[in-house]
Amino acid sequence: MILMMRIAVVFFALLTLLFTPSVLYAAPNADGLQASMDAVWVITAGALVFFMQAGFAFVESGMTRSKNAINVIMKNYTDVCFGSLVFWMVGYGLMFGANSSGWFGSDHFFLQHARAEEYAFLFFQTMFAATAATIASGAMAERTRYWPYIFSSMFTIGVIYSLFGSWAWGGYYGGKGWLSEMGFIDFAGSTVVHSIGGWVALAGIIVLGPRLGKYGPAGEVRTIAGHNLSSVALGGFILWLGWFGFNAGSTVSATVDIGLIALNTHLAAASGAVGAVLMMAVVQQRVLMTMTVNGSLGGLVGITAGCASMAPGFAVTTGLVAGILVVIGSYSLERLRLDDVVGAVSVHGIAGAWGTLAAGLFMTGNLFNLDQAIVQLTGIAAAFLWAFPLALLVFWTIDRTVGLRADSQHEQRGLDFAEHHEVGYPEFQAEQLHKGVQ
Amino acid sequence: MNSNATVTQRHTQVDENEASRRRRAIFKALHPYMSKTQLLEALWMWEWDHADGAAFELARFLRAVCLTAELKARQSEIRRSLIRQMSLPLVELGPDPWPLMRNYAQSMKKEKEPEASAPVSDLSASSADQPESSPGTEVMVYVITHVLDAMLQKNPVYCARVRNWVAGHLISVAPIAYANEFSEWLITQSPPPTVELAPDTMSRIVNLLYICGCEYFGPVQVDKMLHLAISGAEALPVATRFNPRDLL
Repeated sequence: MILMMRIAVVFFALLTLLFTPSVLYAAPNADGLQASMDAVWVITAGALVFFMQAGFAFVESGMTRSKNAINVIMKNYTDVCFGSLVFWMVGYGLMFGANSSGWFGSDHFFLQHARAEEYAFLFFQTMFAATAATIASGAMAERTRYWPYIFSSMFTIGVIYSLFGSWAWGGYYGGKGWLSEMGFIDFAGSTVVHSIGGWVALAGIIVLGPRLGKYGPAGEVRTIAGHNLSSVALGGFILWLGWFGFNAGSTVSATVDIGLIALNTHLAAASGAVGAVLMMAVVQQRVLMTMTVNGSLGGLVGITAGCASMAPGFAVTTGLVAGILVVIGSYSLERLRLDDVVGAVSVHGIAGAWGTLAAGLFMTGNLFNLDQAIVQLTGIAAAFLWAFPLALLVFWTIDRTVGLRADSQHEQRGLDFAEHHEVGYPEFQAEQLHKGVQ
Repeated sequence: MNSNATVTQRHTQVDENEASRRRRAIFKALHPYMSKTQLLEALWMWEWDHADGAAFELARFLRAVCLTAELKARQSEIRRSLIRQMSLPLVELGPDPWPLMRNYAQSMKKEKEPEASAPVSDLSASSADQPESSPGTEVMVYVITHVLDAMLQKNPVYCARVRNWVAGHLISVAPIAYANEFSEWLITQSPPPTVELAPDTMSRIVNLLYICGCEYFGPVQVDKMLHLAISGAEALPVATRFNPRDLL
């Protein structure tokens, strides 16, 4: 009997504990709950942006020949690593630190002791910085030396991207960037992230020159096909998925606004691909899968600036035009003898510039406002005039000092073996032009 | 290989009369300085790469054809002669060399056909009459010969240009005596050099072939040609004494 009573007491005690958590833990208030949800959303979105690196890796390696696949993936993989450290050390402070001058942030370097939401914000912004840095790797693939590329990538994150970012987005800790002060709209970074990356890539390919044999003796353009176009498509899908975090996460809070942002993002990607397909049909080119993927990426880049501030119909227009521009840009660059292996300049630079203008033109409640368009054009021009000449100078200096372009023998052997002493596909690679991994 | 129609198609910016006048002027200007073969190859180079270009194409053309030390030394003189001939009235120029060019192209094609079935082309066959060459050189000669054979099958004119270009650039990677001897072999099919070079130097020579081959045939094609040549060399008895992959 006593035993039964003891069991009953224990049972009721456990039951009481089970159904009275509020007794033990204080119920969060509405603000606390919102802060928690914000943090969860920002970290989730940041993780999605990080996943975009996998998309870049698939797209870029797929578009290169099998003898250079490891090299371009190594660049993708390690520019995130080096770049994240550089952004934590200096980039974040320059970009978001107290910005009294409007030109650069001046504190919060090596962020150590901060509020919880600051850590989440830094995490999210680090993923953005890594995205900006990795854009150039694809454009410059198959003929760029590894270490000089990594150095240029760190410079891009630490200086080029972060300083421009402070003009457009600066002032998280006080003050405001000069472009932001003018009313420049770039919600998630069509210009800040993508055009900056695209213009850096443009400078890189100008200094490097084309790959061996890209152009024939009479100036004809040769297609140097990538080794795995299936992975290009997979990379496109991964980037598309990651972009929902890229754009919707830029609210930096868990709000209902993310519905419109995600929808606009998706519609622009779809219409970007449609625009590219239609453009290829109009100019009587074959409808290339690689260009179609790039069209959707162009649509995503294009909508990034205005995804939170335009109606879905305009998102479709923005994406459609971006897809068309990607095709025109890619063919134009080829004619100019600029060898952009993955089409990064068209996708990120040109579509980013268009998207930034579109964000001003199609702004809900302020449609086709000329003043806003001028502000947008100012931001677009500032990005180009800042990033392109500076990157050109950096690449040129690297090229003249330690050398940016891989030796022609390394280009012959493939950079996988020449730079890393690794082979991507030892069982299948038909034409290994090197001594083999011993 | 190249018909009149093809050439006419290429002259999109220059009419056929003007194209003919330029060919005649070039033939007359270069005739005193070059052998017949060199001259016809130079004319084909003009036809393919420079005929549609503006006036300043002449300078690029001259740089491209004056590859030997002798021609380089006389390049200014040749340029003056060329400019003079270009400005002459039509009646003072000789006949159009087009028939000669066409015959040359056809003879190149015919020359190639029996080679296609032969295991080794003339270039490496000529090495058989020579004192035994070192294993490395033997393998390199085999590889270069087979890559050039593959190029010849694709486009004899481009192949000739690749040969000339490599010959003209050997001096940048090999000792001068060797470079001269090797150039002679590449251009005139004289016996190949027998002296052993360091593997690194030989791989540089193969790389020269690769660089120029990429421009004329595209990197994917040249990768295949080089791979096939290396695979063939790996089956040679001499491959036990010199690994053909040391050339890569």
